[in-house]
Amino acid sequence: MEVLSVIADVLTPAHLLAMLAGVVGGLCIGALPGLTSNLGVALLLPVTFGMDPISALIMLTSLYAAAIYAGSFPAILLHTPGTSASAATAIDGFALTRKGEFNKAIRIATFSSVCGGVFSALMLLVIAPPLSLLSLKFGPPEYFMLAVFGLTIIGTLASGNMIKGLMSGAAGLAISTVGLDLDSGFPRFAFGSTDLQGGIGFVPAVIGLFSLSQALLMCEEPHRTIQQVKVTAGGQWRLFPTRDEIRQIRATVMRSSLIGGFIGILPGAGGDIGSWAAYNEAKRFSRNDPDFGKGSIRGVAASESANNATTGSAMVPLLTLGIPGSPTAAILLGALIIHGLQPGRTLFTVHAHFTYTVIVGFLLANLVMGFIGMGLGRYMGVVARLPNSILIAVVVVLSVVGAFSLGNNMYDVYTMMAFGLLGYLMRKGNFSPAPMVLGMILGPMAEQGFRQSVILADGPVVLHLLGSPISITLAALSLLSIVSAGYLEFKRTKAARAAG
Amino acid sequence: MLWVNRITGAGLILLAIPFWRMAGDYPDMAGLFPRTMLIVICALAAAMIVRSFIPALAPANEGEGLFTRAAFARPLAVFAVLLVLIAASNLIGFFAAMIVLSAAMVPILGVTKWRPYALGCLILMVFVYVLFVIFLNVPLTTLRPGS
Repeated sequence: MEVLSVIADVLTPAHLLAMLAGVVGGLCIGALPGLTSNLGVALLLPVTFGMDPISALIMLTSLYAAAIYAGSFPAILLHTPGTSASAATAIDGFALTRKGEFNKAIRIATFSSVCGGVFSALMLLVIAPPLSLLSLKFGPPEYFMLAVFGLTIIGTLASGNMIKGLMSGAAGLAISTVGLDLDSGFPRFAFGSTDLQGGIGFVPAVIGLFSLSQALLMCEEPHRTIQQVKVTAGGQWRLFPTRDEIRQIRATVMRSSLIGGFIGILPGAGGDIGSWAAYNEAKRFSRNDPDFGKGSIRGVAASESANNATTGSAMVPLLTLGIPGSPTAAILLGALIIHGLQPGRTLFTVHAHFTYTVIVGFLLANLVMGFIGMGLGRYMGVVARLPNSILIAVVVVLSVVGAFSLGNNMYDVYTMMAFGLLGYLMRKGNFSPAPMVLGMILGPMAEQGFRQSVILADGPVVLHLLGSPISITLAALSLLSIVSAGYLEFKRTKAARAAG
Repeated sequence: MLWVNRITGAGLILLAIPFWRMAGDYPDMAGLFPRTMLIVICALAAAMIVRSFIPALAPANEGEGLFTRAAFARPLAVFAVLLVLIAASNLIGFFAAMIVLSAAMVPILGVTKWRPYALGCLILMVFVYVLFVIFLNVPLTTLRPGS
């Protein structure tokens, strides 16, 4: 009966409308190179404040899935991935376009994305509830170590420069301490400002770090248009792939969805890593395919099914442990908290109806995304001809309005602007903003866990922090992620220097 | 880029000193976590500086976008104009400020095809008005002269 009530709730007009808006918004954002799912979710977040939490989360998760899928459009059309998760798609997708098979590539990308997305939603439905039981075993030391683990993972992966990634995360944690101390009520780093005593808003900071910084980056090349080559004619348009096409890609789609689903669960490892891992595996399994890398539908299917498979699975650690699996999931974590929901076991007990409705909505959104995507795919060339100057105006104005609408005050707008400039300078210096955002989100949890551990410690604090198997495991994983990222970075730097 | 890393690292360490002293005056345990984070930031900044001096470990070219002086001029000019107009929006009104911003960006960005740009901005303003003012009741229009 509960299942029927969840399905009925998903199908209410308000929730369907929210899903539709999220899907269309995500398709537009993802299809424009440079505009990422992070930016889309950050821009849409203020719009959801007046909504009920289910509509809000359905809209944001729909946008996330659709943006990752739509990144394949410019990748196939222009060899310019709309999102980093679609970089691998560009190889075979663009080669298909050059062969005049643009529609075929879009069709395969759509079919594979839908399969990957649905698989990840099912994974979320099956894996998340039992995993949430684990969160009950967490005390202050475990929560502190969890925050450290989340930050080390995202910090080491986000920018390709481990030290800068970790520094960005630590800065986020430090920024989260601005405002009244919750225990003593003492204002910290407020400089006498009543606004700063309330802390630094997470949402204006996200809008600034992701959206305004992107607009400022685009200002460097205002005359560029997204489309720089002529679109080839392509084959006949069809809504569904042919039987022969499905036969060719079915094994690749299944294998890549599994790879993407698994990689998505790992905090910090998003769609880009998932799609490349799946693409490499597909390459290994396609030794007999002479077209692989030169216009094979298997290449498109591998990348696209894997990157969409990471979207749902990235929400597994988010919903169960409060650790986002990707930068976009980090913003979704903020959305959950803003709507008064805390990740963990309660999402699957007290708020079970909410959680399952959002997950089923996400599943349905993946199907809706496929149909709308195929419809819009035919006309994407028009959007790709928009000049950067118009996009800059759109992003700047929406950033200002989005920040103002949070609390109807100018403090949030100035906060957004400060973080916009900071984000721009960070990106110029290769400091990823994603760990900073995660640090700001995890800051209160990490500080609470740290302080309680210091109070409860009977002896050295480090021993108390590492006093349980869960803490030790998390500490070992944090160390492993730092060591492995450091080693990989050393090898990459060495290879780059050798190549001149 | 290596000099940027060195200046940034040194700047962060210098910036951390006054914050460290400030946090020392906080009562109870209020200063403990901020101070711990400042130590972590300083340690990482020091590692970044040291790394930039070791040829085998120094990172290759990094960072997004272009790295010419002209490339920085446009984003900073747009930011400055935005800052002035946001401050002025209480005097001239939000929508007027955004229209002036759109117009000011024409020379800064060197927009030559102004008709599609103007049309895009007009559609944007109507969209913002309909979605935020009418549907979401965001009081953008209270930011007007005399309010």
